[in-house]
Amino acid sequence: MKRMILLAMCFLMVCTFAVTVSADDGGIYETAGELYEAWVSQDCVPDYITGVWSTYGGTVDLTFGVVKGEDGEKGRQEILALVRNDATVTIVYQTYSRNYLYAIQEAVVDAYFGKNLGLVTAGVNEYENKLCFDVHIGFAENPDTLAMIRQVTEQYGAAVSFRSVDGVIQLVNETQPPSPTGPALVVTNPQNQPFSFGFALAFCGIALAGFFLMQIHRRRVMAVAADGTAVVADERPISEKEIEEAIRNAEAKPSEALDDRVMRSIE
Amino acid sequence: MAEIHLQELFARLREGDREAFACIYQSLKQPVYTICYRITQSRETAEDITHDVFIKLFRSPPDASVKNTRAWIFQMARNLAIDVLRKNARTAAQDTLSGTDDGYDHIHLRMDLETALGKLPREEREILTLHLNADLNFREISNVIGLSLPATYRKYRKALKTIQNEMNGG
Repeated sequence: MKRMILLAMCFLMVCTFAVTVSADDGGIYETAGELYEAWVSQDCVPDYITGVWSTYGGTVDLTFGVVKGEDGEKGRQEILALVRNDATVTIVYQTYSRNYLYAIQEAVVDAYFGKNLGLVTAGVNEYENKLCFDVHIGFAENPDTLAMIRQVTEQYGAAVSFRSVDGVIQLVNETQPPSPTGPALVVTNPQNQPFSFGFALAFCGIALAGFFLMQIHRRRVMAVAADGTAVVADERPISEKEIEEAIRNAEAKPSEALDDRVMRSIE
Repeated sequence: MAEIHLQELFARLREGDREAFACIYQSLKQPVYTICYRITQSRETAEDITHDVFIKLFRSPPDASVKNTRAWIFQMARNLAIDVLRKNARTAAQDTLSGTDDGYDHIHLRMDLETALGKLPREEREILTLHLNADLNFREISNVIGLSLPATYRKYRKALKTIQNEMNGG
C-alpha cells in the first residue's frame, strides 16, 4: 500500500514539475498560502501589503493587495520572487497599508472605546481596504458620538467607515471578499491560470499522501523516544522549527568572571 | 523580560537604584553576550563588549523618551561589537565550545549548529540571533540593522534554510 502511495506521489510530482518548471524562479515558498502563513506566524506582514484573502475559497491561491506606487511594485516583485508557483498569486492594488489600518484601529480603540460613545466593534476589512467601526443605533443622534465620528473621519479619511448596528456583534477583521465584485484583478501570470485548478488538485493529492506517510514515519520516531532510548538524529531531516529551537537554546553563556568584573566596575 | 518592566527598572536606575541595574544585567547579559559572540565569534571579545555595554547602561541609562529599550540595548551592543570587529579585524580563530559548561546536552548538535552559524554572512547571523535569542520582532530588527522589513525577513528565512541544509548534510 505504501509503495502504491509512493508511486502515485512520484507520478503526480513528475506531472506537476513538468508543468510548473517555467514558474520555478527559485522562490522560497511553494504557494501563496505558504508565504502568508509564514508572515502571520512570524508577525511580519510587510508594510506594502494592504490585505490578503483567498482567491477561490481555499488556502493555497491567495490574492495579495499591495499599495499603489513604487512600494507596491517592489512588493509585487518580492512576492513573486518568494513564491515558486506564482500561479497561486494574484495581485491587486489598493490604497492603505494593512499595518497602517491596524495602527489606526489601535489608536482609535485606545482613544474612544469604553467611553460611552456607542462603539461596538472595530475591524479591518482587508478586501475593502478600510477600517470599519460599528456604532450602536441608540447613539445615532448622540452629539458626542457624532463629534467622534467627524473627528476620526477628518483625521483618517476614506481609511475608516462607520455603520449603525442594533447591538448584534459583527464580524471583525474580515479577510474574505463579501461578493464576487471588487477591486479589478490583475492576473500576474495569465498563461499559468488554466492549470491552476490542476495544480491545486495535484498538490492536494501530494500533500495528503505526504501527510499520511509523515504520520507513519513520525509515529515510528516517537515510538523510539517513548522506549526511553535516544532518538537518532539521522532518523529524519531536521526541520526549520527544530533549527529555530536549537538556536534559541544555544544561547551563549558568559563566564562568571564577567559578573564580578561588571559589578566591580560600577562600585 | 517585558518591555514595561524593563522601562520601570530603567526609571529606577536613573534614580541610582543599583538593585534595578542588577536585575537588568541578570536578565539581559546572556542575550547581549550571545549577539556580541555571534558577531565577533570570539568569547573573550564578546565578554569585553558585554562588560562595556552594561557599564555604559549603568552610567547613562536610556532616558524615558526611548520607547523600546530592549531594541535600543541590542542596537548599542551590535554597534559596539561591529566597532571592535572593525578595529581588530578578526584576531582570534573561532573558539571551540568544548571548554564551556553551559548545561546544553547535545554538545555535538550544538557544535554543528555553531559551525553552521559561523559560516553564515554576519548579517544573517545577527538577524537569527536578534530574533531567536534577543526576542526582537522583525520590525525591531529591521530598525536595528537598517534593512527593510521584507529584506530582513527574507534574510532570516534564507539563513534558516542554509543552516537546515548544512545540518542535514548539504
